[in-house]
Parts: sequence; structure tokens; C-alpha cells
Amino acid sequence: MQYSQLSKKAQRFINPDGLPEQLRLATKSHYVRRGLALLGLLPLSAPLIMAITLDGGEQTFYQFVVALLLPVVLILWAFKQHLVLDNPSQQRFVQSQFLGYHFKKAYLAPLKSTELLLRHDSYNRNQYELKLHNLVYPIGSLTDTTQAMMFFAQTFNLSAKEQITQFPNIRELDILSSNEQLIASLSLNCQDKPIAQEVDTINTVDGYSAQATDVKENGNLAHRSLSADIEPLWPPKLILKLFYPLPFIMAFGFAMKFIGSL
Amino acid sequence: MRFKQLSPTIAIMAKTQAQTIGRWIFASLVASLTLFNALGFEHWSYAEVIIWSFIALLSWHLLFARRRIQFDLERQLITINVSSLYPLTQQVIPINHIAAFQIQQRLGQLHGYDLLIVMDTQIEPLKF
Repeated sequence: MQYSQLSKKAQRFINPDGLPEQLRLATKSHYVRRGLALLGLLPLSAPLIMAITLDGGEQTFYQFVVALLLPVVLILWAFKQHLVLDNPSQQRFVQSQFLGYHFKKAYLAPLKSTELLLRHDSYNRNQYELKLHNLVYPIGSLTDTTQAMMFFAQTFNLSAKEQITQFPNIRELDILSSNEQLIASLSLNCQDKPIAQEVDTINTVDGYSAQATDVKENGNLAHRSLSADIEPLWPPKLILKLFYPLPFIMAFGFAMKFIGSL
Repeated sequence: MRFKQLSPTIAIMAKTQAQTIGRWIFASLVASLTLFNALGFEHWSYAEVIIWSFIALLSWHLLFARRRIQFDLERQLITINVSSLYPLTQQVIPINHIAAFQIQQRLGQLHGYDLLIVMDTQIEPLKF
């Protein structure tokens, strides 16, 4: 599995710099800092224009504001933090970087202990995400996510796990088998099917009687229609319901006004 | 909110007494202030009365809105009711269709967590 074979969305998450020896993945706090720097641009932009267009005492004030804000935004922007998977030393560590200067390696751990898990998206069960140590990549379709997982597993020789076929149990995956084979075996069990049915399919593969599976599947039909019925607690129509007492309150208000003016 | 067992098969999520009393005092203060305003209505224009009624609506919901979460083992249901003197919304979750539970860190809170119910086809947040 090569980097160039990954989907567009996975490539957006994963930066190829340093391959094949090491992979530098941006940590959560890296993204938080980038977000803060973006937010800082908003209060910065107005004083920047003021500092250029105004003159006199006001200009000096805005120049001070720019002088205070600009370094903060620049530092936030320039400070990088990566989770590094390093092949030659077989280590995983977190490293900060500022304007080309590399800080000390922190949270050193053997590469082998890195967790690699394929699972359903936490918000949308039709989508899939990849969890690598403490980073989560919501990549989307099963094929793309599996490809990204195989890329990590084969490049760094990690053990891959999945939480899809026997949810919520976690199962080991064979990383040596080919991609297509893997995706087929996963999608056979999970696409658009309720969980109980997925387990059944596995049972048949394992040699359970087909008859038992049929009975279970019949049960699942009722099961599925029932469980699909659960309505959200806050439907959009609820906003209308909140206004039900309004006419009565208005009528009361007008009555009070009428009585008062008598 | 805390888990409170009413009978061997039925339990609810109940507020602590301090929460109940605190909210009741605050809400009745707001509601009585709004009502007190209504005494001076002869000096108000119609537009002002309409604006007042929206504020009064808010204080109505502050005073009466409540949520009941009931766990019923006998009927195998989790029922969530939201009402404000009249029923607003209801959600019934059959216990035996729950595939798993999921704990998720609340966005922006270091020690806050959400409990999610994972059904076969959907994920339903259960917040207390």
C-alpha cells in the first residue's frame, strides 16, 4: 500500500513528509493552535487597516495593538506539534517544532504499542473512522478507511484491529492479506445491515447451521423496523409547540391593558 | 442529576433537592416580576405588550418545563418525557435494541462526558 494510492481525504489528513522512514502526524493541540491563530486573525485585521489608514494619536494606538497581536498570532502559527512514527528507531513520540528548531522528544513509546483501530464514525454510523493512538481520522467510506489503515499497518508493521463486524467487540485483522479481500470481508458483514445480522453472517462462515441463521434474520426484520423508529428527542416541529401558550399570554396582556384603561 | 430507584423495576433520573428549590425560587422570581409588569399596562403600547408576551412565554417555560427520564425494566423501555404543563416531546428507547454504550468527551470540557446509546442503525445521545 503506497501513499499515492490513498484517497484524497486520507491524504489531506496524512502529511507524506519523511516517508518511508517516518511519518509526522499533526496532534490535536497542533490543530487547536492553528484554530486559535485563525481566530486571532479576526481581531488583527481591523487594527491592521486602522494602523495604515489613520494618522495621529489613533494611529499610534492601533500600531500598538498590531504590535501586541501580531507576534501572538505568528507564534501560534509557527509552533507545530507532531506525533512521529519512526521506523529506524522503532519508536513513537511527540515532538514540537518552532521555526525549524526541533524540541525534545516527549512521550516516547515503542512503535509496536501503537493502537490502530478501524471503527464506525462516532456521529454517523454509515461512515468510518480510523483511530491511531489518540488521533482520530474520520475518513468516510469503508474502502478509503481500510486503505489508510493498511497503509499505516504495512509501513510501520503495526497490528490492525477492527470494531465493525462484531461491534462492540474488537477483532484482530490480518495485515498480510490483500486489500480487496479485506474490504470484501468487512463490507460483506457491515454495509447497511443491523449488528445482529452481521454476527449471524460470521456464524455461518464459521459453520453454524444455515437454518438457525434464517430464523434469526426473520427476527431481525421486525427488530430493524422497530429500532429504526426511534424519533429524535428534539424534532424541529418542537419549536412550534413551545409557542402554544403564547396566544393565551397575549390575550391576557391585552385584557390587562383594556382593564387598566377603563 | 442522579439515578434514583423507585421500585425493583422502575428507576428515574432525579434532580437533587438543592437544584429543585434553587430553580423554583429563581423561576418564580422571574415569573412574578413579569406578572407585576402587567399591572402597568395602560401606559404601554400594543407593540410593547406583544414583546412582553414573548418574555412572559420564556418565564412560563422557565417555571414549568421539566424533563423526566424513566427506566422501566418490566416493559424494557427507557422513556424520556419533556413537558411544560402540556407535553412537549417524548422519546421511547427499547432496552433490548441497544447494541452498545459509548462514552464521549464533551466538546470543550476537560472532565465532562456524554453517554451515548448506540442502536443498530443510529446513535442517540442520552444526557442527564
